[in-house]
Amino acid sequence: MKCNKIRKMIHGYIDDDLGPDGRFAVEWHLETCPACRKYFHEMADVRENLRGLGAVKAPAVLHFMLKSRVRFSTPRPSPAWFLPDPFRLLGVRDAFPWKAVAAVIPVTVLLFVFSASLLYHPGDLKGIIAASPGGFYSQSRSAGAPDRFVAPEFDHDRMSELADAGVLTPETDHLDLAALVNPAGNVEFTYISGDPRNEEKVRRILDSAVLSPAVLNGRKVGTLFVLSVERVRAES
Amino acid sequence: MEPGRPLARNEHMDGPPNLSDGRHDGTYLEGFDPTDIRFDDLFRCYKHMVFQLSYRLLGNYDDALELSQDVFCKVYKNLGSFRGESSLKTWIYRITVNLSRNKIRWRKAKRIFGMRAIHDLEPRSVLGLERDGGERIRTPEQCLLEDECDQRVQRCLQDLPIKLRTILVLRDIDGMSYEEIAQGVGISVGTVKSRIARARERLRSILAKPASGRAS
Repeated sequence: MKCNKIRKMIHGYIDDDLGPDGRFAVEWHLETCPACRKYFHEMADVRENLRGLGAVKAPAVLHFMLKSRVRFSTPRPSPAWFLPDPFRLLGVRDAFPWKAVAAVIPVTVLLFVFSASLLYHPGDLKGIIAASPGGFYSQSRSAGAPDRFVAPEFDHDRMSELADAGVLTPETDHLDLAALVNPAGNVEFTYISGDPRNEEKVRRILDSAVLSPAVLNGRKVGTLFVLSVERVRAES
Repeated sequence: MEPGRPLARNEHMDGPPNLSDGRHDGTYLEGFDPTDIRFDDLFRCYKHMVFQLSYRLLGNYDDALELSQDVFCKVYKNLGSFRGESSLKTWIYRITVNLSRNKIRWRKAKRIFGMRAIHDLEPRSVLGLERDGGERIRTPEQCLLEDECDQRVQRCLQDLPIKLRTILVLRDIDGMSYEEIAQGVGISVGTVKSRIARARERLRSILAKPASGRAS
């Protein structure tokens, strides 16, 4: 075997990391090659020099220095001391702040629900509807609470009357609507405005209401408060 | 304390650590859930290992003290993310090696060379840097010679590149196996073997040079 190869093996021989065959090959070569024997002794000396450095003990002052940085007596708080950590069970590492994200999401949802409840007061509309079974009311975008109009039943003449009286102004940029409240407490919508632009808007809203009543149920859509839509009708 | 019994949470370390109870070898905490390990247990088990590695890699007593603190803080902070793919001891070795590298790079960037801590002027026995068989009686002359020899080897070790120095310290001073070194440094076993060979050859050539009077 060549000297180069043996010299690579000599370190394994010194560290007792060779198998029986390797040890035999090295020992046999060292018997015959003085240069490699010299190399072996030099490497062994280096190792002995390093081993002779001896153990270094940590000084007692290290303990006191660390005390100022870490609170010794307090047990380390577990990420979830009361429950098994789901992230740990799933093998999720802490590199990405999953726990922070998971904590922020429910807080955000709660804040959103709380703020939405401040904006939307279904009780107001419920009160109006309860007080006026069979009547109808309108609401414009610029108005606050919806105005209530008492009418025993829905008819075009009454609505035209209201429009003529200036209560419903088709020429403004308001989106004027009227809603019919039937005795069952459901609301039927119709369109009053004569403005073709408004008509288009109302049609669009009412069409979408027909197509997706679930989305509208109990939610504010544009200027409409929809509590329960059984049938939506747009009339020109 | 009998080995194998977990340390209770309300046990505190009072006074100097008792090294005769077999817990300082770093194997006592293996197998425990890392989140259940208390900081002082961790410190008691691994302090000598961490400090020795820090001192041998940095060659400076004060830097080793500072680095040991950093290592324990980092280990304690990241115990929850320890996945158990290697032993706790190897993981701590890896953290120590990485932080040592960072510190050496920082020193180079700041051009801090040739700093000699005041502690390095003290006799080795005062600092707890003792040879094997430190209890045996030695003459003052022997102590002086051994101290000088140690300092010279330590200085020569500092002249090695950090990659080679790390491997050599882990293998020849800490006595780790090739596989443990590979895990601790994050390289293959073959690379460990070739680096050991290169490091020893380099150190031999440095030791063969006549000693200069420069400070470490």
